[in-house]
Amino acid sequence: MSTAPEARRSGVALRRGLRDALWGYAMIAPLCLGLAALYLGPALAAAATSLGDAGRFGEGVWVGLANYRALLADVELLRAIANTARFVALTVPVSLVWGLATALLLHSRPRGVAVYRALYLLPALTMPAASALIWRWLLNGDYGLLNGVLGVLGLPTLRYLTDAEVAPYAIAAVATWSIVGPTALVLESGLRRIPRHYYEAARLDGASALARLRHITLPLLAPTLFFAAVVTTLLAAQTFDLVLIMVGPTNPALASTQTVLYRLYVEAIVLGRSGYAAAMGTAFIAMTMGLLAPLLWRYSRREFQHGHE
Amino acid sequence: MAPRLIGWLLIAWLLCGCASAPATLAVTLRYALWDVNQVPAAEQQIAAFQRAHPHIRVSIELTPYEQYWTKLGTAARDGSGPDVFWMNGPNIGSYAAAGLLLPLEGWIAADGLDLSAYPAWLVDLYTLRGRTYAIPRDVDTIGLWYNKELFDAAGLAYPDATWDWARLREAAQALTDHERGVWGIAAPLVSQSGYYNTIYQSGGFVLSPDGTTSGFDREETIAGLRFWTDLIDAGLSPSHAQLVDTPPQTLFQSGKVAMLYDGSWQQRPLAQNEQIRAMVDVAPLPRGRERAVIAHGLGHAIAARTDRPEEAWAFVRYLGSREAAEILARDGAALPAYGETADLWVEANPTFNLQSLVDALDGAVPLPTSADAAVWWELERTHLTRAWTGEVSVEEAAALLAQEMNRVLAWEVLPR
Repeated sequence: MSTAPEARRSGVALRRGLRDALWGYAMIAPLCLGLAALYLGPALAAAATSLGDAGRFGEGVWVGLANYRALLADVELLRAIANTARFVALTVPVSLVWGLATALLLHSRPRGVAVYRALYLLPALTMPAASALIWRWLLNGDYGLLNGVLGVLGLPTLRYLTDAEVAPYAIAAVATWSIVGPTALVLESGLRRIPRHYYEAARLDGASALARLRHITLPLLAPTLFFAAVVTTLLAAQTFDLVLIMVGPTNPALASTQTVLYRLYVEAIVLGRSGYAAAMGTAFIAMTMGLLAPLLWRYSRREFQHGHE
Repeated sequence: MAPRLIGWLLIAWLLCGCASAPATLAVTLRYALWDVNQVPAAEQQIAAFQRAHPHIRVSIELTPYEQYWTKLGTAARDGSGPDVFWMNGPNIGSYAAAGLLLPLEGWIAADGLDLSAYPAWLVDLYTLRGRTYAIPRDVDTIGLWYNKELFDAAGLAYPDATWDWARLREAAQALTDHERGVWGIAAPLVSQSGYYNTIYQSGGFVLSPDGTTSGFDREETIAGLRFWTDLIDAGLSPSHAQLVDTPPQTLFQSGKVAMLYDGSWQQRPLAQNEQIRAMVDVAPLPRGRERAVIAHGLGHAIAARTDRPEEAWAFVRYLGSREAAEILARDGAALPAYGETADLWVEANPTFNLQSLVDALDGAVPLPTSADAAVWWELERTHLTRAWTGEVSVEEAAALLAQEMNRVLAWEVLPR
């Protein structure tokens, strides 16, 4: 197209450009319609609900921003935000490092690599509720398998799910366990896109494995790492089912493990305060988007300029 | 050729007509419930009802309790929910106030239905401002379930109606054996089958009769709460953390805990468990300063937006009849609300001493509830957890709880 002579531009090229654009829109239309109907629509409806004081069954009067003001004063919510932040800080780095190590190992194509890949993916394919129930049983303070094994070995045992100090780490561990597989898979696909001859050249120049990792792998893997980091952060921030199933409402560890979405569940479902819960949800979306959008925007522009895929 | 064709067309038309005629007359009602143990009894009741009303079909929709109210509330709002469904005390207030239930007193009067067959307090539970919103289905009480083998091994006589708190503590002391990981009793943080009973046994209360004041800051109520925390402190019960980790029913059924306060609804699952049924029995709750047992019962309600109100009423009326109650009693899954069938329930389920659960109905205390019960129940969980773990004293937790509960009660919109 760029080689077409100047004279033709105003005619054929313009029509073709328009046709391409229309095809483009047609291609993304189904996805956009779906997004609009299933995400944007409900999100806007929730925002509308948040401006009233709707109870369990939906009716409510206009209260403006009163719910949002109440959010700022909600001590339980502030604690939940802190818990969620700690949870993200525990889960994301560990799963990225572990995922990268696994990806590097998988990338080296050992024998039976397909089996390892499948094993690593299994946790992510299991229903979260099922994993949570099994882990709850394994981590049981008195009769769980983990404490059983530690006890036999003479090692100290802990109350993983009912001790306020330990429970956040236990839940973060289970979350990491289920996220590592897909993370490793994504990173492995990123590794495959790095041309082999870079490594060969580096090896010829005498670079050590560590140097190759630092100067070739990590920089070229950066976009994929970034993507994995964003997705993992979003997933970790939205943890709810693990807390609901592994930690109950009368659990002494609830205060240190309840996340933002768990508070939303309590407000919406247990207490029936739909308006307030909608405000919590809308604020959460706004906060998450507010934090991530600038990052994504800046990064995607940089990628575009560098010409990397 | 033409007559043959017409002949075939006629036959085809007749067949289509035959197939569709009953279908256009048949009405299907959707019936929602939450207890899988009670489905067999419900199916028998439905079969009997369908025999008497051939043009009405009933389909069961079973949803586990944890999701039942969420699903029902969402569906009822836009009229896509079941026609007939189970209702309980904690939810009758909010559902009636939101206009989601069909008032039944008109039909009750027209059909001359006699509500005195059911316990008066249960009919009252489902009657708000003179309008009846549900017909009682069953009643439940709380009993002292105990492990006979552990009692025999300790050489103790089984619990009976003479027991009081002191006797219970003595027995728990004798039954506790930390070496073997056995406790005398479980002290979980549960209201209906736990501390509500001991609160009333101490002469305290949870909610004032007019529904405006919390009873948690009263001395007697606190004594009822201390009953449980004292058991934990004395090592006669697993700690709160242990009971959260492993449900008390699991501990009881595994022989780790010798006694457990639990509901009459446990009768059937325990009786069906071959390993446990021989090992376990039930006795009346020990008395405190007074004798008191928390009683509750489910009702059948009709959705306000049902498009089959007449048929739904026919079904609900049947479910509240003596015949349906006898089916339920024989099945054993629940004690019917229809008073005269209690003996049938006891006789048909000889595995356990169910008479003690029926006797508890005399002078039972109806489950305390209000329109915003969900809110102050959550407050109870939050505050009393700290008392059960020993983080704060029972007095302090109860005082804070009463304060916040009073605030919630002051905002409630629905008077009885």
